[in-house]
Amino acid sequence: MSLLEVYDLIKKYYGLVAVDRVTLSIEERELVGLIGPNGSGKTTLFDCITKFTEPNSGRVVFRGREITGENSHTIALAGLVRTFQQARIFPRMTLVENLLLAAQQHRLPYEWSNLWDRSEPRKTEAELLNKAHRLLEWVDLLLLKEEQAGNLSYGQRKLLAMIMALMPNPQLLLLDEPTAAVNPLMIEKIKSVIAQLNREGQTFFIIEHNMDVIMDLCSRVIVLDHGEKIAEGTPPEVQKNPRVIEAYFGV
Amino acid sequence: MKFKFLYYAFALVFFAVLPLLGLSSYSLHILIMIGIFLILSQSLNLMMGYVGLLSLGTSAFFGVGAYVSALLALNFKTPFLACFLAAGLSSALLAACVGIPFLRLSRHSFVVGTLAFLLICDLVSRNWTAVTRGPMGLPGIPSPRFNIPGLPPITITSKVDHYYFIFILVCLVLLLFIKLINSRLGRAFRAIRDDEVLAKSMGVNTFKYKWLAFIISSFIAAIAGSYFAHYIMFVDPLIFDLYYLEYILITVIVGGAGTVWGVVAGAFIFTTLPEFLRLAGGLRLVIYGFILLLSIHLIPEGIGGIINRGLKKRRLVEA
Repeated sequence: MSLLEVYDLIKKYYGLVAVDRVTLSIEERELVGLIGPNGSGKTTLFDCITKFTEPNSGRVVFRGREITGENSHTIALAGLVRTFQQARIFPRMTLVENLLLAAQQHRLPYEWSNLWDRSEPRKTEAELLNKAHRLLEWVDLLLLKEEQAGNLSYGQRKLLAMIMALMPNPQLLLLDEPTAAVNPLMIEKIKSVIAQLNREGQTFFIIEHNMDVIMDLCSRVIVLDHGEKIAEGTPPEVQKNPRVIEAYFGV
Repeated sequence: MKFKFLYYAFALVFFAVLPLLGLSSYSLHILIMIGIFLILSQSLNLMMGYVGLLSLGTSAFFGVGAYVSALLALNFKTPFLACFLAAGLSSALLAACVGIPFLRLSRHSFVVGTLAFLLICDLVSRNWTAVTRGPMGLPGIPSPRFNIPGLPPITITSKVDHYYFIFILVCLVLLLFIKLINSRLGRAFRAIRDDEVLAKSMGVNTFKYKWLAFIISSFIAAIAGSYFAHYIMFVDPLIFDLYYLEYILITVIVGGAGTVWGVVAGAFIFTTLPEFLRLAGGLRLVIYGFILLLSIHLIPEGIGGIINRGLKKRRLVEA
């Protein structure tokens, strides 16, 4: 059984077919890339899987459980966490609060008891705080931990958004262009973070335009064009595929 | 950090001894009104500043609380504490019901929906004469009275008694409010305010949390309304008037939505300011409007924003 299975997913915006009968599967511990020209439906596919848009038809199965009819938040709680292209963060909360919020729903709901009896929540909260500090240190943001996230630079936001997605230990992480609009030094940093996590067993599904990142990291690449899956294989295979060359260069 | 504790202690002692300094009953009245509207403003602040939803229903729940409390006290001779809690709970229940459709609306439609709810409450209180006596209102609401077993009953009648009652209530509400917004629950509220889509992607059931906030906010508004009715001893449909809504909106916006102490400062300023402006006679509303315009222009993030910036600067200097 694969970790994530998508069958015949279709998303139409009136006449435009944004995702056209896409079927794919992702195995545990894999690092799969999703590429395609602009407007080929990559982000829409992510949105359909995580229910930020409603697909017209098709099925999504995660860890053997049908999640097609579920809500975004229950999908996240099931262990399928995504990031956004625009590096979304909570601007008026501190970095630490951002990270704690990212993990809190995945723990037992202590909301009410924690107003008075704080022993149990304090323990989990301390654990989470530890993890938050570790992750912040890892991406060199520890000094800014009490800063409002809205004051970060774009690249720092990108890193914060990524470690926020790591906080709840997701089974599968969908990253939407983790290196877009980030300076080259930061790209290397993000690449090494992803590679290390993958070695430790984290499964990734990544949308990326930066071919270096795809070639260096991914074991398998899926190519979309006009919402259709046109190729799948190892990076060198895909590079030579005539349909992919046609989609990218129009020859 | 230890200075912060000193500030709190100083404020507590200051307000505890204030009535002993021989204040006039007029000054005490103003202080009591500050207390009531401070609580009501925090109710709006919870929705507006922490969940990011402008709920114009806050003053509707204030009025519902006042009416429920008054009707129970007048018709069933219910003791004050029971009226007080019943007002809060019935209002929370009402919020739980109307919140379900309202919170499914977009942010903008939510504002209109809650405004409509306020207008409906106003119409019901005017026209359901069999219960509310319509525009004639409900006079003769008894003063708060506590029957503690083993002690002589305590009746709150004088201005000083009222002052201490509202003082304790304000302290309790502020304490719980600060605890709430710093808890995991409060963190989820603030996450929804900052980015609802991102909050969902982190597993936050945004509908549930907005609903909870709406219920808590209505409970706070209703207990303020309940006490208001027992203090003024009269309630009529004017409690649903847009005047109160404007008043708390100004307090929260100029005080600084999303800050506790900014809104506290706002309540002090915008309750006392109209009183001082009485000296200006006919120009009163003009000057009031001018001050409002000026403060929105000069401090768009509110008084709370200035306080926070000052604190941060000091932290940086210390570090």
